[in-house]
Amino acid sequence: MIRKKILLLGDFHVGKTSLIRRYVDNAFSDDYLTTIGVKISKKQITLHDREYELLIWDIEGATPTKKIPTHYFAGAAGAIVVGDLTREETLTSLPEHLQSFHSVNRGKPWVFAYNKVDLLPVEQRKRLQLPEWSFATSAKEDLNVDTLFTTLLERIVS
Amino acid sequence: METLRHECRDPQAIRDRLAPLIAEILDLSLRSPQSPSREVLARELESLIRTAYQKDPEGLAKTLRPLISPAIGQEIAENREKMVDTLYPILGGMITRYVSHAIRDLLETINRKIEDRFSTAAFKRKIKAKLTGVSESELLLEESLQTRILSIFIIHKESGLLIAESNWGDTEIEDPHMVASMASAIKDFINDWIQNTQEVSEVQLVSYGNASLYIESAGSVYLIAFLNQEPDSEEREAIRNFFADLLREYAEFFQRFDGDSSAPQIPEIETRINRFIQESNETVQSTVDPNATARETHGKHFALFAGVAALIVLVFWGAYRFERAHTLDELTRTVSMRTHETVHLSYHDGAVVAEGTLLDPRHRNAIIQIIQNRLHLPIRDQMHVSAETWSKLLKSLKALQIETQNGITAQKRQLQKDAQRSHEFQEAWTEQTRKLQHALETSRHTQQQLRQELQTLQHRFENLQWHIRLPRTIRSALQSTFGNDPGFHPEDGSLDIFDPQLLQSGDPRPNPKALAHIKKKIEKYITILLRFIPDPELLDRIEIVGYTDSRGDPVKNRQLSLQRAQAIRDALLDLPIIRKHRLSSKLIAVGEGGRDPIIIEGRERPELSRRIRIGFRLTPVASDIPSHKGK
Repeated sequence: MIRKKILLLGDFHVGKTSLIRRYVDNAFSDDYLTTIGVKISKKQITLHDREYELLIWDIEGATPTKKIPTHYFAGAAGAIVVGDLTREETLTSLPEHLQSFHSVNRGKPWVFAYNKVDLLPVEQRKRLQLPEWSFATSAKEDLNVDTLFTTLLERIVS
Repeated sequence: METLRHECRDPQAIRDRLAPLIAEILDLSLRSPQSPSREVLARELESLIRTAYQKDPEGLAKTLRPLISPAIGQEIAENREKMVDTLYPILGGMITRYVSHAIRDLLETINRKIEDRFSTAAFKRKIKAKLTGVSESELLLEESLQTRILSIFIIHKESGLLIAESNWGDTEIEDPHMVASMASAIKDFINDWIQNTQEVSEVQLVSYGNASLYIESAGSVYLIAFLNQEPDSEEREAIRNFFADLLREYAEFFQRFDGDSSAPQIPEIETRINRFIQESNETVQSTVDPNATARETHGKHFALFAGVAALIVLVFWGAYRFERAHTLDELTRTVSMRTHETVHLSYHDGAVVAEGTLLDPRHRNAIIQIIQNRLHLPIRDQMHVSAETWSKLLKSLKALQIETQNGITAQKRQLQKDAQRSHEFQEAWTEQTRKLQHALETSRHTQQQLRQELQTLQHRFENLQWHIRLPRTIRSALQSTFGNDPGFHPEDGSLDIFDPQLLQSGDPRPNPKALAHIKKKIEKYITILLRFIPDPELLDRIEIVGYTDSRGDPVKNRQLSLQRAQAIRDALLDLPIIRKHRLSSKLIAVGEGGRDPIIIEGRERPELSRRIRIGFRLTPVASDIPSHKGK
């Protein structure tokens, strides 16, 4: 078994915790998120005949009165940076989150999750064009959630 | 013998031979209480020891330790009572302090347990006291003296991943890897907070009720020991030593740990942790009722739960304290950034106390406003301004006053100058305006003149065009009337009037009957002519041209033709149109003789050659020609 610490980053209320709930095997109470700014969950994945266990650190999003607790970033093997497709400002801040992650973990892999795609009109969903290592996700419709984590793990172990 | 002789010459051989004998003699001498050697040696020995102690006290102690320690041990064994009496004045105080401290710790532990009277453990204790007949106090004392390590985690410091863990007995922590990560996060959170408060460097012990977490951090890992109560200094020392041993042996492995739990070092480390836990707890277990083990095993889960709960409470409390402290720190920084004042802020009785010496009293209101904007609490203003600052301010004010006065004077002068310039400018402006108005009027006049001239020119141009077109217009009109007449000449508009009865050969007088006939024709011609000539001045002449046939003398013919033309002109003077338009002076008689005979089919027709031609000439166009309109 190989264990990896990965981070889940993004602005406040972009759906990070919903993605976690959809995906993980076991998790601590959400109370920790509001108390100390992080909640840890676990997921076991088999990739290329090897067993991996992801310890996912769901980092609380920034609010006008609270900064992102970057002291939790250390030692992470990768990060999932989440934005909300229905709120433009959360998408424009994706590069900032990535830069913040790389300032602590230089050169570590990442993936972008363009979340809440289920809220977009069908035509807009068809026209959606995303940059490299990006996935349109929906916790509600269980769309691309597994792919998101598996792709990140593949990037970590490659 | 030879050998003995040889040795007598060698000092070293002599010393070797005599040494055992001297040692034996000295020994016998010193063993006798009355021996003078003993007294001498004691005196010398004291002096030697004092000298050696002054020169090298540590070396002396090292040298004597192997001798003194067994001697003291033997002395204590043989004369215990005497030794205790001797040492008590020195050790008594120290022992009393140690025992007092230990009893005080014990009492505090017991008090905590008594205060926790409504817990499950307290109820269990009461029941056990009833069943076994052992007093609750004894059971309390017994519990208070036991410290057990329930689990030990070794966690990678940077990633929070659990490297190794071991538990005591059947204690098991569910999902230890998640617990390790969460504990790591909580530890990071607390450390972040306490580093902000700058009170301590790192959290080491978290304790609540029956559970304690003891944390040791070094290198790239840290150790968390879960215990049933706070460890004392010896227990901490033991844990620390164990951790140090692990670090020494596995430092490189810890540093390179990448989350792979199949590393061969991990089972080794876990075995060592397990052995350490067993050894630590066995020491305690041997002194305790065997039944206690089973009871404590049941209590382990509760202890762990209580520990985590304690951690959460601590975190909430820490977050609250951190928020309060952080807010004041932020406010202090904000005040400093905006006002450059250093103010100390604190909470007291539900109010914010602002203290400090202000560099500028005007900042007081701004500082209060900054605090009120952030915290909706009453503010106790304990800020003051030093006398030195007031003095500086007064000086600044005076300087400012002088500067202001000077400034006002200079400003006044400048204003006067500006007013003078303004007056001059106004006059110049008025003059310029007047000139411009005059120029504008002149220009308007000139413009009007030019417009009139232009109109005149346009008028003249139109007249000119009319005049130029006039001959053609008249010819067209005449052609439309006389076009079918064989005597009409379209090129100049003249008309030959043929009448064989009008003029007889050699006779200058026209036939009266025929004359009456041609007069009507001529009148019609002139009527058409005048229809297009509104002003008689435009008409230069109306020519009456007389012709003869080509026979006879040309000079006589010319005269004859002139006579004929004059006779007809005279006959025309009484025409109403001539009189009405006063055209008599315009009627010009011309004699052309036989110059233009009428030849038909190669032969002159004399009766046709004798004829009258009527034509016209307009006045040549001049620049000041009168207008054709308005007349």
